[in-house]
Amino acid sequence: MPQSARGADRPALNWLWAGLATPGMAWMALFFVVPFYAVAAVAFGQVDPILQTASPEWNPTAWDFTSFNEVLDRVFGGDLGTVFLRTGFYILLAVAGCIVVGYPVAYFLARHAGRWRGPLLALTILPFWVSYLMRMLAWVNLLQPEGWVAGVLRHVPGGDRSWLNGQPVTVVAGLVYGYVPFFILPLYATLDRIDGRLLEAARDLGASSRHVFWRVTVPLSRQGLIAASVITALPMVGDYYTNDLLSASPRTEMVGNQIVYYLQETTQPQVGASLVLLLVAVLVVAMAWYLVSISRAQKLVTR
Amino acid sequence: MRHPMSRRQFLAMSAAASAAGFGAVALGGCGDKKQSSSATLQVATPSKPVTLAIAKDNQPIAAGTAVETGPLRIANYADFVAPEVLAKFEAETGATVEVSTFDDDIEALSKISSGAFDVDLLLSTAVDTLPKFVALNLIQPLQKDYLTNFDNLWDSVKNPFYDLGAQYTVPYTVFSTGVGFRTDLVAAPLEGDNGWDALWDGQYNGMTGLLDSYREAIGLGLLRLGNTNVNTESKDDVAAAIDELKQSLAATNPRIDVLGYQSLPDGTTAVNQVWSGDILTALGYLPEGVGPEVLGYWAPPIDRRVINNDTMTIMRKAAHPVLAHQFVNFMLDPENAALNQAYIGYQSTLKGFEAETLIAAGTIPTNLANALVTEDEFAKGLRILALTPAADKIWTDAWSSFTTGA
Repeated sequence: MPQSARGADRPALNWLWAGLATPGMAWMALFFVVPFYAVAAVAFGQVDPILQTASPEWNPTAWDFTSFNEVLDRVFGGDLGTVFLRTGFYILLAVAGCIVVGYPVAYFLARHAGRWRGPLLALTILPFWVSYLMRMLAWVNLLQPEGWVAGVLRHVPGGDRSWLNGQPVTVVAGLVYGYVPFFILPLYATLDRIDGRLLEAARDLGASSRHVFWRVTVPLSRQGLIAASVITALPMVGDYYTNDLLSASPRTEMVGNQIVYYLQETTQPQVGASLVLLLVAVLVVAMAWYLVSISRAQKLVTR
Repeated sequence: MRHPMSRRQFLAMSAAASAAGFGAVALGGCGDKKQSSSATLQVATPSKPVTLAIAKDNQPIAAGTAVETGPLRIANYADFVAPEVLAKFEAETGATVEVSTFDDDIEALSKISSGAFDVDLLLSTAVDTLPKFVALNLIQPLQKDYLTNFDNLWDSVKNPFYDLGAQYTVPYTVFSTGVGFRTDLVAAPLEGDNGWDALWDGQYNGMTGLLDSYREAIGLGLLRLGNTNVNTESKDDVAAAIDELKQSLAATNPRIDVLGYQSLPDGTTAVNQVWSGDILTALGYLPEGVGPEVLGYWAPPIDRRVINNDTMTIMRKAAHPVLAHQFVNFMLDPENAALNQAYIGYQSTLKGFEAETLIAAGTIPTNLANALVTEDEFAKGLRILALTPAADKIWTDAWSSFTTGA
């Protein structure tokens, strides 16, 4: 029977490794569940009457959903909805930018870098040595009216503008710049694993180089592409300082900015916590899609 | 730099507090598990000054107590005290000074209240947060015998409305809210009664900034509409102010931050709502070879000018209360205050800190004389005061809505 046949293919549970993995998994579960519950307790809790800080409600039966419902109203059809859509749009553009910039780099590293592969890979990792914040601050200097980059751009058609004053293109470009190293590495790992014999087989069967790339390499790198996109998109969802530093305009406000505002600058932390919960819900949907697509791909491979 | 943005964070009083107007309001019964549920808040306004309560078990320390060896532990905004001043104090007393920093007064209150901050002195306590510190019994009354320089203060701040008799507090800095500008980047210097119109002027599109403080920014909208009630609790007033700000957004796409002291000197903005201390801080951020004459400050007419101050307070649980008193007294010395002001930009409320003196001393340039607050102006300026929680929700949600750009 297919069911038992499939079950027989699976390796038996290795108790040694299961035992070794348990503490780490318990650690991760604990540090996901507890903070998540704390956020919920803040979102559905009260505010201390004098301190004006969150007074979390740990007992679910006493949760108060007033603020959460108000946030839902504002997200679905209200002003916060605009921020969610804008954030999603910026992330789509930024991930697309990462693909345009990162794919050729990863492809070159994996297939054509030859003896330069090691040094070039090291260079790719180099940006990790400098904190994201510092790299964004560098852009603030470069894009100031007297900055070098702004000075060069002034001679490009359409480039004579205040780059740091509410320009969506600056924010998206900042996201691409900041996250593209995270994109290149997982994609490189996938491209590097593609069996060269498959490409040779395609060529032997008469495919041109372009055909080999589009019909063999790209489909085989699809999982890496999705993984790299997810890895870069997830932190972008909660990013707020890129916009803060490079634009700081209501026209480029992202969800992360609203969360920081409500959690740090107002006496309504429960609204900020509610926004965090909503963001988690959106991410859960995205992650579910990612997991489903991976498991489908694996089924295709093992069929 | 520090982030004064949140320094202006109000304390939201109980709705009952506003209903009762002035005086003490018991908040008992607000919740069964709230740490502060049984505390009492005393709301102050210039027209309804308050004598803050002193608990029987919270009396000033005795005069003549031996000074502790230190270290003196201070909580403050980042970069809001001159390192030279701290070094000088250390040299004079032999005690070391340790500074812990916070981003806003809610954070300071929360950390001191929870014990996360175990400090002797809170160097910049916002006036509107003060009643909370008193209600929670977190600060101790001052022993004036140690404050031999107290007389150096402006007479008007020796008995402030928020703390009659200056029992708990000594003013630290004072500042107005106005508009900073670049004289070389604007068509004409901002002057007259409506200098803020430049923030609505399309020719400065992409070159403006507003303070990322809902009290100050919405306050600007109110004031430009001629409404001087910057503590309004009316939803319609706030909505009208937001509409006004949206016109500024449409015309000039302002940056919303508290970095005017950087963006004006580097030319990212040409017209920027700022606190007066920021325009003086900006002097230190001018690129090499650029003179102070490129900076300008427009102070609104005094009947529409917001002026606030913050204060120094000593913690009730201070392990080094005498040393803390000595530091407060040290800051009331004009020489030390001048040293401090030269670094932080923000002005102290000592006698002799008039524009002429500071210009003569080379501390500030002539063109920024109006960034200083005079004692007379201090008495007449508009104050940002605490809102009730209901009103505060109106303000914060309105500001959130504005910043969504929707």
